[in-house]
Parts: sequence; structure tokens; C-alpha cells
Amino acid sequence: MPNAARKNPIDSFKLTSPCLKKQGFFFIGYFMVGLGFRKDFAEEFLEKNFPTPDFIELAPENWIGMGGYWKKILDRAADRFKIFTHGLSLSIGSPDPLDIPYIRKIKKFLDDYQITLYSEHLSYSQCDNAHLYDLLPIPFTEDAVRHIVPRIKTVQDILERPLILENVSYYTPVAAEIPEHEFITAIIRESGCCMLLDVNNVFVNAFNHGYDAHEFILKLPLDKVAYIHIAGHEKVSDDLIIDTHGQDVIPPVYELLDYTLKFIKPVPVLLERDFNIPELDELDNELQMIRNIYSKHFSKAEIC
Amino acid sequence: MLKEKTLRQQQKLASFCRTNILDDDLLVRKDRVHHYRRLVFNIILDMMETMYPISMKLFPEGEWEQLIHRFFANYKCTDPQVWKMPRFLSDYIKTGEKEILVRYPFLPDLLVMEWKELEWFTNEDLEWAEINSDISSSEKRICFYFPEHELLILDYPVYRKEGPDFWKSNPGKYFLLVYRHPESRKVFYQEVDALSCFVWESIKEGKNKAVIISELNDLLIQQKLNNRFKAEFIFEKVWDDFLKLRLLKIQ
Repeated sequence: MPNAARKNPIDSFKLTSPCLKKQGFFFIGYFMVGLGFRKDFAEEFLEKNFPTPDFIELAPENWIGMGGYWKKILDRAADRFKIFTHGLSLSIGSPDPLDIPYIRKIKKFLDDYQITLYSEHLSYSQCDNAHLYDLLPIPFTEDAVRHIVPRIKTVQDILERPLILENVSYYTPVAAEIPEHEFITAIIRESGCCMLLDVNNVFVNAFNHGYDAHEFILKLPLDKVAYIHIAGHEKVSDDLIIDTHGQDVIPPVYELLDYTLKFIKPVPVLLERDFNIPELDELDNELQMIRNIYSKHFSKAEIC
Repeated sequence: MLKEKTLRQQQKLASFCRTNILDDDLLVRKDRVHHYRRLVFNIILDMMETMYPISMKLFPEGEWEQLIHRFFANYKCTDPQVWKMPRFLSDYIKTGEKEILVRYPFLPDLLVMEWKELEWFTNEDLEWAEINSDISSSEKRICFYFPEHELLILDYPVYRKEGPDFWKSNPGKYFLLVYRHPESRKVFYQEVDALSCFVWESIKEGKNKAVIISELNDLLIQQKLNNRFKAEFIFEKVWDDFLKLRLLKIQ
């Protein structure tokens, strides 16, 4: 495997503005296998102190501005775990202007909880000044790339952190003019941001759109991958899978993770489970599966 | 920077998700695009059902869903936090659902009451606020009020257990205190009267006891309700009640 592709992209994140240069440092360390922190199991998770992921990930939108009971839960979680974040409403691909006041709220939240990793989706969820609260696919076009790249830089400047963008699942292309991998690569390369590689999304998209997931992985900017997601999905018809995060991860998706790890530097891997949440020991089994795969590729010394 | 074509495609897809109107020029797989609308409404309906369990039960089967579909098609939700989205429903109904308002004139009040429970459960924590030091008669003690509360003015008694027929047939002015308990952090409701509201708001404004009683007395005279003795009595009752509710403390 090429050495260049084994370098952690966050370590070499290009600091493009004075404020980022001032910040100057981004560190993940040994936080490697994490769990999506959901309100549905938050209290039980904290009470039992089980499972024990290396980090937890939450959506800032679900916690910003909260006090009372949920603030106490969040503070307890923050005392115990390293927190990474995965936003939902940035809408980086929207035709609408960026919501700058909201990005500043995110920045404050990240600062308050000393969170260094902020990821989002390469999609849009707001249009004509109305939020959809779900992720819509951006047309794969060159003008969309030119539209999104400066927006990423603006977000990074405000957050004083690298933005890590996820390849999203989609069920139909929208007025596509270039291939998906070219679209993703152009945005990541031209903006200098990092990539969140969701291996389940690659699996889902490969199935839904009839391409080879392994070949697709190799076409991505793997040297820029800073974070990985893995999740379950639901096959709703002979030719369509919906990315539900509501089922167990299936063996072919674990296999795709295994395959992907051959080509990248050690980066954190996150298990997402948003619906139909099982007993916590079942989630722990899934975390252990990921750890087993991870340890095939990276020793602890290599991670640290 | 975005070409007109790309912009229009994005708008048409978003509009389809909100309105179910599929533009022929939207360049998507027509056999699959409906999944986006379905997934959007999974989120919206789930959020609304969680937030408004009482309001939802007023409607015959299917009508609540239709209402939420109309709401989402016609009202632009501008808050990026999905859990804040349901609060817009009350505004929408007041301006955009005349027929619903005729059938359920109390619905905006009911929605507000249900929403406030979540809002106060989740609101940011606030610090105890000091009250005018002259408030507590002879003793010079420091008093504080707990600001995690709100007085709602309602046109229908939707907090009463009697139910929709009673609410509808008893329009008026009703005052409801919603507050988050300082220790348990649970949200409670308490019916209060107009005069108690006046006293409580005056306390929070920093007026001293003598001024509040004087103004309250003027109010009683104006309303031909009572005399000075009753004003003092009302003040003391409010003071005691709010102490019991743990919204006041004396140090």
C-alpha cells in the first residue's frame, strides 16, 4: 500500500486561514472504535457503564441549547468519554446561504465541550429557506463543486477546525453530469477538507446503482479519510436498500470495512445505530466485531 | 456559482419532499424519488406525535397526518434543530387552518401547552435572580426567584381534565404557570389567577412590597373588587405559594 495514503489526513490538514493556523493542532490519538450516543439509551448506557467504546459521537443539533435533565446527561457523558460530533443541518450543498449564526452556535458548543472532531454530510437539507430535516442528494455537477468548495472553507474558518464530510447514501441520482466518485473527490481535494468514509453508504449505493463497492472505494481520496462510519441498513426491494441505521451491520459491510482499512491510515471508526436499538450487549458485540477487524490492520503502538 | 439548472433541480426535489408535487422536469428516478418524501415524513410525523400526544388524539384516523402534511407543505420551518420544529405548528394553524379552528378553537392553546412542556424540559439552565431587597417586609433578607418558568395566557382551559367539549364551551382568559422544578428538573403546570400573575410579575420587576400592594389595591378598586386588606392578603398568598413551588427562596 502506498505510504502517502497511510498518513492521517487530519495531522496534515492544511491550515488555510490565520485563525486555523493559530489553532494549529488537531489530535485524535487512540480513540478508535466509537458508538453513536443516542438519547434512547443514554441513561442506561451511563448507568451501566457499558458498553465501553473508545469515544462517543453525537449530533450537535440534538444537544445545542439544552439545559435541565439532558444537559446533566451530556455533562456526565463528556466527563467519561471523548466526544466526536456528526452534524445534520449544516446543509453544505444547499443553494441557500450558509446559516452563519448557527455555525457560530456549533463552534461554541464544540469549544464548550472541547470537541475537536466535527463531521457533516455531503448533502443538503435546506432549500428555499425551509429545512427538510433529512439529507437530500446534491446533483453531481461541476458547478455544484464550485458552489460547495468556498462554503466548506467558510465553515472551517468559523469553526477553526477541519470539516470532515461524509459520502451519503442516495436512492436516485439528481441531474448528474459527472460520476459520484469524481464529485466527491473534487470537493475534498479542492476544498482541502477531510473525508468521512461511510462504508455502509458505499455498500448501499453500490447495490442501488449497480457498481462495485470495492472499486469505488479505491477511486476515493483515501489519503483524506479521517473518520469511518459503519451501520446497518434495510433491503426494501430486490433492487433497493434504504440506509436506515436500524439494523445490525451485515457481514458484507464488515468485509468492506476490512477491505477499506488496508488502504488507509488508522482513523476512528464509528458504529451508528439510530433506530430499533437493541440491548446494549448486542451493540457491544458489534463494537467488538469492529475492534477485531481493526486489530487485524493496526497495532496499538501504530495507533498511538 | 450554481447554474440555474442545478439550482432548479435542487429546489424541485426539496419542493417535492414538502408538497408531493413531482415536477416532470426533475431529473431523478421516478420510481425511487418517493422514498425521500417518505423518509422526510417519517421524521416529521414521529416528531409531531411525540410532541403532541393529546392534540393528535383529537383527530379522526388519518386527519392528523393530513394536517401535518399540509403544515409541512405550506409553512417554512427555519430552525435547523428538528426538535424545535413542532413549535411552528401552532402558528401555522392560527393563520392557515380556518376549518380546523372552527372545529377545535382551543387547538392553538393546547399545542402551546404541550410544546411548553418540552421547551421547559430542555431549555438552557438559568441562574436564580435576586429580588428587590425591600420585598420581604421587616427582615432584611436576600430573596431570589427561579427564572425557569413562564406564565401562559390562554383562551381556553386546555389544562383541565374535562376534555375537548368542556374546553370548547368555556372560552375566557386563563393563566397557567409552567415551570421546571429547581431540583428534579421536571416540568409542572399550575393554574393561577390574574391577580396572582400581577403580583408575581411585579415581584420579578423589582418593585418593593409597598408599591406592589398599592398598585394591587388600585387595581382592585378599579375593578370594584376589594380593599387594601385584601391586597395584602393576595400578596402574602402569592409569596407563600411561590415559596411552596420552590420558585422563591430567601437567604
